[in-house]
Amino acid sequence: MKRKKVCWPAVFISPFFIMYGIFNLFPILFSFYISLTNWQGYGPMNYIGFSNYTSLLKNGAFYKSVLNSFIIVLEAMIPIQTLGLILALLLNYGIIKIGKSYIRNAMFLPYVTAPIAIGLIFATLFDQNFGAVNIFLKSVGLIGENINWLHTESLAKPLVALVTIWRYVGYTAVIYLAGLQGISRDIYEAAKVDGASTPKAVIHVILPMLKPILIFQVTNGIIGCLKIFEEPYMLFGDYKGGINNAAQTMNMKFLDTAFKAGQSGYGAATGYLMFIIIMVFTMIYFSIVNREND
Amino acid sequence: MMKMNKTKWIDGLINLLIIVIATVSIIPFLLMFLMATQDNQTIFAGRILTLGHSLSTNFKTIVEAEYFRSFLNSLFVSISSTALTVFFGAMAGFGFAKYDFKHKKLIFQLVILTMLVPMEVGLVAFVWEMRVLHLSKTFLPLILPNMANAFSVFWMTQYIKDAFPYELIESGRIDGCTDMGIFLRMALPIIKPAIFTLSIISFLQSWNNYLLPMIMINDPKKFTIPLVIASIGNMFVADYGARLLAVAAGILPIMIVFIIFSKQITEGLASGAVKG
Repeated sequence: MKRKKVCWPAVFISPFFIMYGIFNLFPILFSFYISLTNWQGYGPMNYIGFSNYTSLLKNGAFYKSVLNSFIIVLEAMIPIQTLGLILALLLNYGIIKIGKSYIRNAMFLPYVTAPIAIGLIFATLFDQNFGAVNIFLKSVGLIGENINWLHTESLAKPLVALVTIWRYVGYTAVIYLAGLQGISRDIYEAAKVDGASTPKAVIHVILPMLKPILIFQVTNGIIGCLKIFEEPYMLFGDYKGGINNAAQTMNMKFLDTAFKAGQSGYGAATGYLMFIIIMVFTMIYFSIVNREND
Repeated sequence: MMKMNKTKWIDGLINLLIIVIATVSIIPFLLMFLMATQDNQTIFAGRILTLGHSLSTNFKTIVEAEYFRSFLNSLFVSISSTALTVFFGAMAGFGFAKYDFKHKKLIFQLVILTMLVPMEVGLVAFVWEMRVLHLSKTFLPLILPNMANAFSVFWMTQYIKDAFPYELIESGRIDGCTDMGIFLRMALPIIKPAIFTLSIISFLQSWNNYLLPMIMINDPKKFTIPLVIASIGNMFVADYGARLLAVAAGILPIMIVFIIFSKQITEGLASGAVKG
């Protein structure tokens, strides 16, 4: 019996790289070429050098979308991480006794729901005339006149942040909970025996051990949050992000130029700049993690 | 003794507060289900907390709009995507977990690296490429990219490392199996629990995906559920009850899957995140 020598790991692993090459890597590289042309989605691709990038860097609307994204990240991430962590601590250290699985599952449900559906549900709830939010606020006497939530410039970003918080708190708590379960209970008990109060035990003993997950969560959250587009798209009905583009995120700006306005070359350049911004955050993450490991 | 009782009281109060917060998480869904049973009159009158009488009328409206075709489209796309994600993920995971070869660590890190590059960067050329390959009028652009899913490779590698002992490969070889045969006939059955969990997670992600269908699918007959939800204002112009019923019907399958398999989904996602 003669057996041909086959390099099995290559057989098992190469499909991943071949498919990644065809469906991801090639489009990524070719998009860079397209970003150097004035292609409009059809017709010829004329090479125009870096002029898409230079005009993009002079474009106020692009900067505004980047700024919008970061403001939404800030408004959403702080409550998400704080609430998620507190919730995980309460669940893990036995303060919550009743309804544990109800709490976990109810709060996780928004995360598994399609963001596009969430956007539509919230657009309905915040409708000026028949939205549940106005009806509720009026019935308890907090407001006299209906608030026009979806068409008020100053409310646009907080609204997107609110929906994001609602969607991610439960997910964040579950991830923190998994991290906490990896930390031996004895450490927490020992800290308390040594005379530390509960908050002190948490801050000085538990949090440092949770640091890798904390960094992962924050970075991952920021990257994910920078790419948000479905919720604001459904809330405000288009890729402009409401009155005066108040909640137009980077990703919405990219999708709008690349696929709605028919400026594919310009859009590809927008995509690349967005990528660079996200990459900077990823690098920061890796430099922190690597420093931890040293 | 007094102090004991006081902390108990505070703990109880915190517990109650968290239950209330958790309920806030599901109130939007409850309101959606209520509004799906109502007609415009009830909705505009602001009687949102009443159970309407229009469920069957609304249901007829969305059936007549051929809403459920998008359901079948989504099912087809999600099931095929899931099968590819899981199979190719398990195969590469098997390769990484059970073999030693040159530069293995580096190659594995390359896989992880692909997770960090947002797919948005390549979208413009992806559309062009699909057109050149004559795939843009099919579902394939939504399905085929799932053959290279880094999350699934990473996840499977971690699982197979512990779950499939190396001795089994040896014994398989002695029985005259090729390594592919060992993977298909011995490894896949043993990692069934992992396949199951990963399948649910991939199905969920595929079902909810809006970005790729949005740029690839133009024909309303090929719309998936998220596309229909996004254009629901055009579909049911002034019928809010029908709109919300369509949204409810679109997310209900995922809700049911989640309620039944919540343990697998939360633990599966958490283990992927915590190990990373």
